[in-house]
Amino acid sequence: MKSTRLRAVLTVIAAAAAAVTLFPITWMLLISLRTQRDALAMPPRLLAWPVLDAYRGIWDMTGFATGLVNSLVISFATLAVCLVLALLAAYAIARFTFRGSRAVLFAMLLSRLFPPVALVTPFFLGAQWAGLQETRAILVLAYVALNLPLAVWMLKGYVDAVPEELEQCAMIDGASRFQAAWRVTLPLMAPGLAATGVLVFIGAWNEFLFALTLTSRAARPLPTVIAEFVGDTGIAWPQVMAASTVALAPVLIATFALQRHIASGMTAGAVKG
Amino acid sequence: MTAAWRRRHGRRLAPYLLVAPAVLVLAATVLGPILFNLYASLHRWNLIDSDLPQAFVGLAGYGEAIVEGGFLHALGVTMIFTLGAVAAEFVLGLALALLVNEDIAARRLLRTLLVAPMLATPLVVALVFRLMWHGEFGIFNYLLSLAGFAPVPWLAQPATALFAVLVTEVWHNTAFVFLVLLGGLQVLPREPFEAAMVEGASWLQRLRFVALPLLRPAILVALLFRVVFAIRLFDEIWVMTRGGPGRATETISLLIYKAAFESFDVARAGVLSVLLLLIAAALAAVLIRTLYRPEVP
Repeated sequence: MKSTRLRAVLTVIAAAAAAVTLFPITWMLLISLRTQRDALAMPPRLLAWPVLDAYRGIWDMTGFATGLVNSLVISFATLAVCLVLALLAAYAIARFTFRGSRAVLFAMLLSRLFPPVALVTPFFLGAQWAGLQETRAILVLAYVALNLPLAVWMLKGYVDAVPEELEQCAMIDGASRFQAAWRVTLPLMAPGLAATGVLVFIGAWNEFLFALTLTSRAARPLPTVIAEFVGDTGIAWPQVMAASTVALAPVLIATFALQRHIASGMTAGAVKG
Repeated sequence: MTAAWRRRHGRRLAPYLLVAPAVLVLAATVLGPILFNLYASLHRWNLIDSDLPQAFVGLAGYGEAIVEGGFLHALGVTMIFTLGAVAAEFVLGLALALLVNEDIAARRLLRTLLVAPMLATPLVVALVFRLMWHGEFGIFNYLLSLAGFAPVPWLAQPATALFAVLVTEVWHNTAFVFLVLLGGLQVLPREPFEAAMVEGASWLQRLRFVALPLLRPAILVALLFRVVFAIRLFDEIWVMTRGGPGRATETISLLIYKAAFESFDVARAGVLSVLLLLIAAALAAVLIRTLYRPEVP
């Protein structure tokens, strides 16, 4: 039995670790609620009255509004395409025995371990050749490719978790294989599908390198737009932090909602279950 | 296609049709670029001079890329960065996992708060830390000044830039190690720990001789995944330092980007990409072999 004092000490240490973990996010919020002068004051003005100037100001900054729209469009499109492709593949791998199914899974795992930066040059030249530079479509293609292996591995696990007998029962009752999968398996794996979808969405939402190389104007998503706010001189830090807060908000909500699924999802393929 | 034909062959064809779209997308977007890199790496090819490869030079490009242009330096930076960051993430992640696995107050809340950075947008992490590491009005220098130290231009001097980027990476990704190890700890059987207690093992002995050996699979997964993702790091370094000052934080990822998009040297970018892919493939082989050896179906 642990003594209550030890329990208190351990709780305090864990709380301190949580405070350190949350500090940079808190700092971002605090700076985003300041005027430029207060934000850069030394010593820092911790108790400055919060103002929303920066949140109003970002809409006037070049590309912010279009960047936000682009990010939403690109991320939702990636989510839709990626889930459809991954669901088809995952269902086949989980439910059918066929030559090459293991090879497909291993190829998926391997392609996830390859660094995207080593693929970006040919991808850029291919996009140029196909006339797809500066389009949202090419980023959707890139992000589908980057997230597909993760999605297939995660979804395969969730299909496996639904007993095949349930589908067979439905088929005995006259349903086709497709109907059985659609009406029986899919609803049962809905939470897993949602978790996968959120991770894919965030993967697209967060991506920077392909956005940096493939777009520079109209099709730029939020991260590369915000990166441009940080020039060499006269950085408007409250606006930069306000824009960062907007970019980070959906990610934080998803992280808190999904924490159980994240680790198992991200390591899918390396651990069982 | 008669109904009979469909019945006979449909079942055998179905899985191939279902995986085909995913496989084709990956072939076009991953395999294609890898083959292209291999091809480009064997030629001289600068986009400033020509849209097409200029001359076949075989492996000569590899020799040049390895001895010239800071490859070995970048390899060293990448290794120091990867090993330093992953080691720190492991120690902190393990400590936090052991802590939260204890019967502490507000356990679920603390766990939730501790995983906050895990999926954070790399660009945002880089910008927030760039402000916090700032030489004039960064909060870290303010805290140092409270302790009586002179301000340090963290990101602006070679001696501290890599350290600052490394700390940023550790803040960002310790949560992943923490979650994987906590997941591992929570499914460990109780009996070995009780037996060790009965035999009078100290807390440290139980950790060293019971918990860590049983945690081995989770530890391997956490470490290998972190290594694989740390060697490719681009966003944070690009946004915080552009690889500088000088070449202090220039990793292989940045070298590839600069070769392709600043020097337009597609051949050199190809060589460096192939080398980085080989490193990643070697790590992947280690990962797959360690994880799949005991139970090949």
